[in-house]
Amino acid sequence: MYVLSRVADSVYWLNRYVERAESYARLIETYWQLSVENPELTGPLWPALLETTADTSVLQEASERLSQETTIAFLAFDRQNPNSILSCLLAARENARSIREKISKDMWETIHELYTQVLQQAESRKSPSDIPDIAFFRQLRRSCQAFYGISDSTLSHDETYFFALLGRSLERADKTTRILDLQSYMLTGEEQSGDTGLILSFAVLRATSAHEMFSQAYPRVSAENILDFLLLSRTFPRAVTACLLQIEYALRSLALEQKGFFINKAHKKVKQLLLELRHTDVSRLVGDQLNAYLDNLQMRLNEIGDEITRTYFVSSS
Amino acid sequence: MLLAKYHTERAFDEMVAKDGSLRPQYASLGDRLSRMELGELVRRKGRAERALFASGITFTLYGKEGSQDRILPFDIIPRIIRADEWAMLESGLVQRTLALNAFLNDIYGKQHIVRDGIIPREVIESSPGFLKPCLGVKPPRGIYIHISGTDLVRGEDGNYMVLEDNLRCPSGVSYVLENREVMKQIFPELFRDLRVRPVANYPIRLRQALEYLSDRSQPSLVLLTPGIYNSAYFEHSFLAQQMGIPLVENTDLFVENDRVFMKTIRGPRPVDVIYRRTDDTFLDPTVFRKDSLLGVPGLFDAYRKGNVALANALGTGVADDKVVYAYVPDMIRYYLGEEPLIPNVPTYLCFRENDRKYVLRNLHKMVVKAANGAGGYGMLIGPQATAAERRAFREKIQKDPRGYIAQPVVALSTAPTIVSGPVLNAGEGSIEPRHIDLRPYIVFGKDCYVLPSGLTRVALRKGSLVVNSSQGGGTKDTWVLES
Repeated sequence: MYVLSRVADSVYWLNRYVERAESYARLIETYWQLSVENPELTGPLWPALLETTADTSVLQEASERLSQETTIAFLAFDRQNPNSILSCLLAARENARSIREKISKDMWETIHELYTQVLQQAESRKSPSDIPDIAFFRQLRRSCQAFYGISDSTLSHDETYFFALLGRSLERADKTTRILDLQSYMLTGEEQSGDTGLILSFAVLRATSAHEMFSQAYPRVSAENILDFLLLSRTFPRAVTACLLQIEYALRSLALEQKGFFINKAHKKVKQLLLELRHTDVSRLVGDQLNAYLDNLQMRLNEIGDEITRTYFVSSS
Repeated sequence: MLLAKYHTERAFDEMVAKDGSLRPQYASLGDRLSRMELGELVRRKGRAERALFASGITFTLYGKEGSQDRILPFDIIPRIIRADEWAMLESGLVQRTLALNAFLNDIYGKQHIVRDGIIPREVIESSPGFLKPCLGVKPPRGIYIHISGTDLVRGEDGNYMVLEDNLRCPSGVSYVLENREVMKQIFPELFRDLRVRPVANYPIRLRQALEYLSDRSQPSLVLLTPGIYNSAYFEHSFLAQQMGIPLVENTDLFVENDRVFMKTIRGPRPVDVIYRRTDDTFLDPTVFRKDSLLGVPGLFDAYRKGNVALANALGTGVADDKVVYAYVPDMIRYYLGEEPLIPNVPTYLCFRENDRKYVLRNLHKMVVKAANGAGGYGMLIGPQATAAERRAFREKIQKDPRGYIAQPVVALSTAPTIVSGPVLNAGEGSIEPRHIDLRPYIVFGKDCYVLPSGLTRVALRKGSLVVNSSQGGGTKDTWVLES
C-alpha cells in the first residue's frame, strides 16, 4: 500500500514541529542560564534570541515591549506567534490527529500530553510576563526526546518512518545553524577568543547538548573547535553534517530504485551540500564570514525542504 | 440484591416480564447481578470507561480554546436477544433491505412503482434526497445500500417495529465493536455462561462487500472522510485501519479522464471503490452543492461512467425521507410479493388531508417529525411539549404538510441500566429501567449480511424517549445468543 502524500506530509511536519518546540525549549534554557551568569550580556541577548527564532514581521511588533520575561513568554506561550512552543505543539498534535490510524497509540498519547502540558502551563499564568521555572523547559525538552524514542520503538521502520526522520533531521540541522548564529551575532572576530567568546561557546555547547561528546573529541573549548564539531561531525546527532547524512539515508531508503547517481533533486541537493561541508575551512569562519556562511546553510536547507515537498507531497496529476 | 428494587413500568421490559419473572435469556445475568454488590458493579463500570477512553473511541468537543475528547456514556449491563428472536429480525431486515434496494433501482430507472400508482410522483420529486442527476445511472452490481443501519424499537406488546431506515452514512458500528472488546474484559464470566455471537468479523465482511463492487482481482479501496473535524472521524479512522485500507480526505483524490486517483508519494494511484462517509450533495461541487469544500470535482462523472464504485451509492437519501418510509411496507409487497416481517410504526402523512386533520386534532399524543430531519432535532413529542411548542408545530405542518409526518408515541422498551445517585462511589445508585432502541447493521455485498448485534442506544434520563447521543443518550453492548 502506497503512503498517501498527505500522510507523509503530516508525519514530516509532526516531527518538524516537535523538533522545533524542543529547540526553542533549548534556546530559552540556554539564554536564561547565560543571563543569570552574565547579567552584562542580557541587554543584547534577548533581541539576539528573537532575531534567530522569529520571523521579522512578528518581531517588529513584539520588540517594543521586550524584556527577558516577555521574550520567553512570546517564544513559549504566545498563540499569535506561529513559532511559539505552544503553536508548534498544537500544529504537531493536529497533524498527529489527522493520521491517528497510521501512528502508534503511544505516539498519539505522548504528543497529546505534551501539548496539554504546555497549554495548561500557558493558561495558568497570571500575567503576560509570568513565566514558569526554568526546569519546566528542561522537562519539556526531555518530553520531546521521549517522543522520538517512542516513535523509533513503536513505528514500523517503513516509508512513514523515513518521512518522520526527514522532518526531524532537517529541522534539527536548521536549528543547529541558528544556535550557531548566537555566536556570530554577539561577537566580532577579535572577541571570539576572549572571555565573552568562551562563555558563549559553553552556551552553544549546552544548547546543543554537546558538551560531553565535544569534550571527548577536542582538547579544548574554542569557537573554531565548536564550529568544526557542530558543522562537520558525522556522528554527533545535532551536527549539521550528521543531520544531512540522516536525510540522505532516508531519501535512499525511500527510493525504489536508483537509476543515475542521484535519486532525485532533493537527494542531489543533499549530496552537494555534504560535499561543500567537507571542504569547509572552519578557521576562516569568523564574524561576517560566519554570518554569511550560516545564512547560506539555512537557505540551502530550505531548498532541500522545498524539494522534498515538491517530490513527495505535491504529487499532482 | 441489586435487582430487588427493579420496578418496571408501562413499557415492555427486556429483562423482566409483567409477572415479575426474569425472561429466560436474562436468567444468567440476573443471577449474577442479584449476587453482586453495587460497589462491584460501579468498579467495573469505571474500568469500562477507562478502557473505552484509552481505546481512543472518543468524540471531540471544540471550545474556544482547543478541544476536549470525551467518550459516549456506556452502560455495562448488556442487552440480550434470544436466537429465535434474532432469526426473525434478520429475515425481516434482509427483506427490507432487498425491497429498498429494488426501490432505488426502480426510482432511478423506469419508475414502475410510480407508474403503477403505489407511490405518488410528487412524493418522490419533492424529496430533497432524490437526486435528478442520478436518473439512469446504474451503480455497480445494482447495489445502492451497501451499508445500512435500520433503527428498531419495541412497543408495549414487545413487538419490534422499524422506526427509520438509515441508508446514507449510518454511523456507530465502531461503538459496537469497541464496546464488545471492553465487555469481554468486564464480564468474562458471563461470556462463559452464555454463548454470545461474535462481532469481530464486521470489518472483513465490509471489506468483502466493497471488493465485490470491482471487477479487478485486487481492487484499490479507500475510505473517504470529511476530515478530522467530523464528529464520526474516529469511526472512519478505526474502520479504515481495521479493513487495512487508506483513509483519504477529498484533497487526497483527484479525477482525470473520468478516473479517480489518490495522491501518493509515488505519484497518482487509481482508486476503484470508495467507502465514502461524506454526504451525497457534498461529494462533487461541479454537480451538487457548489459551496462544498469536502468534494472531489469530477467524481460524479467517474461514477456515472462506472469507473469508480461508491458505497453507499448516490441518491439513497430519497428512501430515508420519512414520507417515503411510510411506503416501505408497500414496496415489500410490490417488489417481493411478501408481507413485511417487521412492521413500520404507524405513520400519518400530513400531506394527506385526512391524516393531517387527525394529527392536528391529536397533537398532544403524537410525535411529529420533520420528513428530512435527523439526530432527534426538528421533532415534537406531543405529550411532553408545551402549548406554545404545539402551536408552533401546528403552524409548521399547515405551512408545509409534505415536510412532516406524525406517529403515535411508542413507549420504547426498557432495559436495566445503572443509575448513579448523587455520590455513586459511596454506594448510592441503583439499577433502573431506561428506554432503549436498537440499530442493527446490514452489509449488502454478494449477499445480505446482518451483523449479529447492533448498537443499543439508551436514554439515560428517567422517562426520556430520546436515545440520540446528541440528546443525552448512551450505549449498551447488544448480545445475540447462539441458541
